[in-house]
Amino acid sequence: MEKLLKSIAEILEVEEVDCRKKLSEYEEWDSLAGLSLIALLDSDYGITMNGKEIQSFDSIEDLCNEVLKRTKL
Amino acid sequence: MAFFEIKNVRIIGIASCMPKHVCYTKDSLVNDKYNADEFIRSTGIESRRLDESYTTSDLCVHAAEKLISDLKWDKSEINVLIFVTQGPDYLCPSTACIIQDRLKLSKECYASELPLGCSGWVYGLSYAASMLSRGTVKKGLLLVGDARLFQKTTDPLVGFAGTATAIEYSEGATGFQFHFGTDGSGYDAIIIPDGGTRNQVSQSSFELEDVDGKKMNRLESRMNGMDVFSFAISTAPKSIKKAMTYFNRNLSDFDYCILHQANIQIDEIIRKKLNLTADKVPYSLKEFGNTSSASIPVTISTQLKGKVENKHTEFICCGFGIGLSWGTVMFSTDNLFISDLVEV
Repeated sequence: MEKLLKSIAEILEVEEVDCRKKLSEYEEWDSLAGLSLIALLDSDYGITMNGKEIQSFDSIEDLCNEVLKRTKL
Repeated sequence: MAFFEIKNVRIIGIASCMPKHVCYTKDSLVNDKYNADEFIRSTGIESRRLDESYTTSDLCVHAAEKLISDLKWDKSEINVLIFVTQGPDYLCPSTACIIQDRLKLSKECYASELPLGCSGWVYGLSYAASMLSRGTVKKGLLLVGDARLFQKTTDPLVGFAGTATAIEYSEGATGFQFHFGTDGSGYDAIIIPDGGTRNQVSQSSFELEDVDGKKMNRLESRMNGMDVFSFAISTAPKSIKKAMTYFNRNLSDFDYCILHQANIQIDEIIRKKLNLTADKVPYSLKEFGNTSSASIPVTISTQLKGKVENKHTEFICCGFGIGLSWGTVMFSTDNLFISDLVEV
């Protein structure tokens, strides 16, 4: 979880992410950041998520939980 | 399981035609969000060829004339013509028929059009190859390209190109091995919403809508970048691997892996997933942009000229995109002829 949060922070260009926030609440969240996140999930976690899915989460925490759930399968 | 093997047919030559006019990313990017350097870093596109005075068929006809003359082909022997584009001259009739006449090919010609984008060259190849493999017709032309901007002023990706691939019946040739796939549930990932019969052109087609922060009308092509991206990086490597497994081939068998030139991030992720070295995966993207269905023949003709002409070369190529649609093809060439780039 910590590693993933750190990677998301890098993509959003912030020191630390607030798990309760939505991705879209961050100023740096745009389609290019989205591509970086999709690429990260694919390369580091072997998970394919499309844009709609990634943006459907109510918080970054929910997104992380989903990633963890899928990597454990 | 859409695997096909088509024997007794081979590619003889390839020609590409592009407009002379070069459009540099650094001069032309109209976007307040990203500067040109950031954009070049994320797409890999430094320049493109654009000139709206040409249609796709114009560029393809120039490429075909050059290739026919270079190969000294007798036009009367060309009895198969496949034209692949998302930008036909008219909604109807088929541009393939018009090209038959413009090229002065025999009226004894099978001419057909295939409206596909980034997967189009691979699909077109399967059409042409299956027509020619019977041996009743000896020569065929596959004309592939797109010369149409996604959006009138702000399109930063597309480069115009028209290509011609010469395909010949050849007794005993190993031919082509294909894998194809389709996922129409992603039909709206790249779409021009109006102008077809589902949403016919009306006054509202011209009204500007907000699409992902951009203003565009419903006759312009819109893309959900994130969906296309996740589709491409997952589907293309899988298709390549499936094709190799099914036909019992290894990546080490191939001299070159030619990917549709989507953008540098997508292509580099695919290359790394396949563990291929950069010298095996040439790109034309930097200089010519995303040339849609033409991107595979454009990459071969611009990046491999001088490297494949006097020898045996093994290719694996993968096209993927709008539809969603994808295809992988494996083939070899002997003394492939590559025409000089035609610039108009």
